[in-house]
Amino acid sequence: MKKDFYKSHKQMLVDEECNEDTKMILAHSYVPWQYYDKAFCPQEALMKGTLFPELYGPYKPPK
Amino acid sequence: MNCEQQLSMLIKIQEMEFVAVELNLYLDTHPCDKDALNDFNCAVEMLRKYKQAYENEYGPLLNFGKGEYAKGSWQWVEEPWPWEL
Repeated sequence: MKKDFYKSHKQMLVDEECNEDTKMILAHSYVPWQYYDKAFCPQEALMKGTLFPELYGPYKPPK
Repeated sequence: MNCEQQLSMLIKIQEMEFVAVELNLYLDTHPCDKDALNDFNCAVEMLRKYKQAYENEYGPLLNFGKGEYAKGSWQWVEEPWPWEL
């Protein structure tokens, strides 16, 4: 059985987020809100793998 | 066999289907975006027309599920497979 089984949920959250030694919180992930105001034409969208120009990010392998 | 016309109709379907899927995913997180909803409905309607035009000309796009019933013969195998176009 895990030793923190009886800890309160709140305390577990605090433990997770705050490292005792550094008092720094762990990384949090987020995504900015997407707005739909421009789009590729259907042909271009299928070729590029996305309808949304702001999401088009082809991977270019280093030479 | 002249497959050029058939292939170009198939590609148009694939392109419009992709647009519909993209707007579908966008609407999953933005259900109140009226512009996106409007464009999604346009894409679905165009897709329906493209598929109907294709099926009238070349036979069923799907073996079963969404298309029409088989008419007279098993048309599913009468046309070349997509990779044969």
